[in-house]
Amino acid sequence: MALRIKQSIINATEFRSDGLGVLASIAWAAETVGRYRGTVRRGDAAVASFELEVDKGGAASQLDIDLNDLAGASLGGARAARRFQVASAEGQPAYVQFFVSDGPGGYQVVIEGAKANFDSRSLGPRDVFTTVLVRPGLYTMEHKPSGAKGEIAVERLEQSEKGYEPKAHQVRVTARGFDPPRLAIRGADGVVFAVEGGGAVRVRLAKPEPDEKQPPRRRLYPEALRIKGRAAGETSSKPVGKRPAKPR
Amino acid sequence: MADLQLAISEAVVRKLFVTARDNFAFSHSDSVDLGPFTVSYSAGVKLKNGDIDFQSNNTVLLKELDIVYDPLSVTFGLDIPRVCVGGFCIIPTPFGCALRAPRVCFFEDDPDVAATINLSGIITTEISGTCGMTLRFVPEAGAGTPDPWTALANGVSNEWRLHLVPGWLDIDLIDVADTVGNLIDQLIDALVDDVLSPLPGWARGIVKAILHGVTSIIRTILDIGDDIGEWLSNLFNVSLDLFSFVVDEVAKYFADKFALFAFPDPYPMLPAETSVLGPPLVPVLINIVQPAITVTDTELVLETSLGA
Repeated sequence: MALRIKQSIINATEFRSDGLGVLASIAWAAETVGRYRGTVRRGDAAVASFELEVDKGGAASQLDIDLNDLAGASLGGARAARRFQVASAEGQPAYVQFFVSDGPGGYQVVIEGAKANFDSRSLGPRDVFTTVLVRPGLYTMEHKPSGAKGEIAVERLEQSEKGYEPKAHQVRVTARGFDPPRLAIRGADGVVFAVEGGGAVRVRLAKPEPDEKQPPRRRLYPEALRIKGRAAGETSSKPVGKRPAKPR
Repeated sequence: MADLQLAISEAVVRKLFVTARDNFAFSHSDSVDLGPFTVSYSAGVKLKNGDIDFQSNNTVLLKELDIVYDPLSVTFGLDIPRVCVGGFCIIPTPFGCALRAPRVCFFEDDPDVAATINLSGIITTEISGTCGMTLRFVPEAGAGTPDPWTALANGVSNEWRLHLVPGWLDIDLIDVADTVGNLIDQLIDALVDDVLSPLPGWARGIVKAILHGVTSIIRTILDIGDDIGEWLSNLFNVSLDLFSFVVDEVAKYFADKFALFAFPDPYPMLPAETSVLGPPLVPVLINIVQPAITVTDTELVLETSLGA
């Protein structure tokens, strides 16, 4: 069976607009026509670059750029900068949306042009940060630099709920904090942050809901795993495994 | 006018038919790509029940000969749809959605899964038809021996063999056991659990909910309607062509492979005898010339001329 589950999705517990990973995206509202040059960074290192052309009056007003794909192509030796095009509809900005399909993430994006700039480390008033929260539990949301905090409770989506349509929940982020400061959503729902005061948003799983009991693992070769019952006279100078220290 | 006339009762031929029936067995496996899914199967086929009935028009009616498919295992392989999150509208406008969230998928590719179900003894089909009787001469049986007496002594005489030759055969689906419904449910569970087993419980819940009811999706892919029996019948009859294959095998078996009875040619009219007074007497062999078979309501009549 050719099947690989993206562990990055299963393990994702933190979502940052200033360090983009899986299940999170940032949309830049490109309101000015022109040519731009973009750089994708992870930490201090530039991992990919691209060219972007924003036109006026076209059909495609949304452009999705997979940063994992872009960084992977650069690692693979692609030297030429990738070129992207997007067009703004009448009275609407063009949206350039950055997301990460897989991998560890932690990307920042900087776009520079003659008339406009974008830096994912500090979002602008029309930029949008979106997360998809799939794992049930209690999440904290935090805005930097204001330090405002809020909570998101994610309810487990049951297997019997067939055909559930995930919803998008809007959260305004202003100088006074999150609005609403608390929200309850269901697994696979999205949370859309409109960051009106600039800055960055971080969402973190603070208290995961305990998972259902997993079936016991089948021991295929019990004799190979046996520790007790060692043959008489056989000694071992090294401990097997590491015993956790007892709390005092 | 024939020199020899031999009649065999219908009851005796029935017993010969039972022997032939019980000796029939073959196994077959095949696979077919049906677009949305693939099916491969491995079947062992035997015969059971059934009867023959002599007719006055020189034919034999073959009645309700059951085909037993045991073992029968069928493996279904299919791609289930991608399992993705996102895709909802981020910025709705009166004219539609201005910005939509990207879709991120749990799996690298469309999950391809396979599961096998055991359908042994679930399906019952039967064959009915009309057959003729024919005598076949097998001339090579005695090849390599210097004379007919040696061939007879070695059991390799030329032979006339009586075969039941099907004129036409029909195969009918008689029954699909009710338990097949449970088996299909088990198949679907196996397919889904196969895909989702590496996921933690919360993720399985999301995936199953997103898939909009995995059972209904897989049922749609496999094109299973309300009547599972009919679906299974179409699968084996039309898509896999198993039933036609079985009919051909049964026809070939009776017509070519298994003789109801056989007799040597030349025929030993008098057996070999030992003599205390002189050398042993060899058997008296008579050539069979132009034998013919006739079937009546009650018996099978063999007529032949005898040659030197």
